[in-house]
Amino acid sequence: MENKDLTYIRAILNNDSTLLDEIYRRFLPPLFGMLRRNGGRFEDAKDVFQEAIVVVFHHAARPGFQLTAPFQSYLIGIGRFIWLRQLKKNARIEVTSDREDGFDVDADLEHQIFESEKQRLFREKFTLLGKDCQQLLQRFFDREPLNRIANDMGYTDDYVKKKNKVCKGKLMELIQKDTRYGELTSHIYSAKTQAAPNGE
Amino acid sequence: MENNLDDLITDYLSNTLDSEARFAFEQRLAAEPELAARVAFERDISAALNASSPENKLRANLRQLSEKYDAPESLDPSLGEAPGGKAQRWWILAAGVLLLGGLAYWNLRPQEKPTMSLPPQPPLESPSTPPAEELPKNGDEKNKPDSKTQPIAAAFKPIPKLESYIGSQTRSGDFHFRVDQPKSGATMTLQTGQVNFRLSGKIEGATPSSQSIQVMIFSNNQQNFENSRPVESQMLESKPDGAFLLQKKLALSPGLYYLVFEDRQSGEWLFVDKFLVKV
Repeated sequence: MENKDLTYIRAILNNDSTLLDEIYRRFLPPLFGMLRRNGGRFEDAKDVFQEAIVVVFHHAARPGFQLTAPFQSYLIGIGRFIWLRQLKKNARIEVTSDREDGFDVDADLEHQIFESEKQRLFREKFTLLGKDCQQLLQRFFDREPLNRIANDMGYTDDYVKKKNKVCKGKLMELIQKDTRYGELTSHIYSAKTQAAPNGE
Repeated sequence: MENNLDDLITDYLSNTLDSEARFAFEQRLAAEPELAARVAFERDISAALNASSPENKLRANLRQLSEKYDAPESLDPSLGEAPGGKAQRWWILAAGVLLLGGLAYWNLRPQEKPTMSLPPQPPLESPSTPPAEELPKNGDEKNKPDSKTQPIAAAFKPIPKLESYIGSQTRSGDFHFRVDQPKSGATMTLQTGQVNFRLSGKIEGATPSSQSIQVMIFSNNQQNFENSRPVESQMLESKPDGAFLLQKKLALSPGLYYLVFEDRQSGEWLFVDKFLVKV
């Protein structure tokens, strides 16, 4: 019989609603407890929980992944790392070292957490674009054919191409201007280097 | 960058270049790191925002699930069988007994607080105690003190969520706490506005070496409890044999207080008990 912890990992990889619900009920309370101790509210816990699950989703999908700790320690360790980073950024309270007494987030996992944070930054900047740009880019990112987008929006293909270029340019500018982007890419580079010292 | 490069990148990323153009573009990528970085950046953005990517499908599912839980109370930890789940099952069984014990204690308060007029009742605790769901919903409804005694009564009103954990050990396997002082439900007397708080006992079993345990004292203020604002909070320091002793003068008001041991890493409650402070 498969270990229950591995069942949870598989459920995350397969986006299994029933088991994800179970994961919420079982592991959100201890995560919330940890956040409470560090100045977090229930809404914060829900956000951090979601991000931690997404990190597991990517981390566990990597070749050679092995669960080296109980699922609860693993998930809450990731959540703790994410929350402490948020606290540090917002300087809401003084926090202790990430690894002082928490789950040991290794370089590989750290890399994944930063990657997820970077993607969150992309989504955040995307919401700052105008409605038209968001609509158009979303359809591009969803790989809809250009002529269908043009047809639906009542534009010519050329106009859609130009508008796409402008909107994408604006989005990239918003991302690159944010200091977090530089910080995250440098963290990602450094975590990647630590995880693969031979440049693999 | 050249003007049609944007189109070229878009076409490359959307897989609409023919094989020859694709090969030529990949040659450029290999030779031009700046271009390669730009393409990687756009690919990252596109992947992050593609609504049908596996990650975003997972996110959509999680958002939906998350909406079901709009408050901590909506998540009943006793439903789970997480690691340590045996202990949680034990909680369910014990909750009925403990809650009833808590209610009995509540009913006994008038003996300690003469301003209240509740008739004393013997503590109720037996293996045949019905489960919590079958108990009267709240003992203080039928025994509600009169309005004149309300302010004092309010200071002794239990926090239902904590009551169900009183005396429980969440770890059934590796270790558990033996708390010698204060005894469960003990009364401490205020002297010049302070109580001599003394917490002593022993961690029995495999003493956790790397675990940080936080001792917190909460008043019965529901809001402070929910926002994790204890009146006192300190790390539990134990000797190699597991013995611990914490002595402190605490400026407390008369009322009901909860003692909570929490695993600082996981936020899990390891031990919960209560005591009273009176003049």
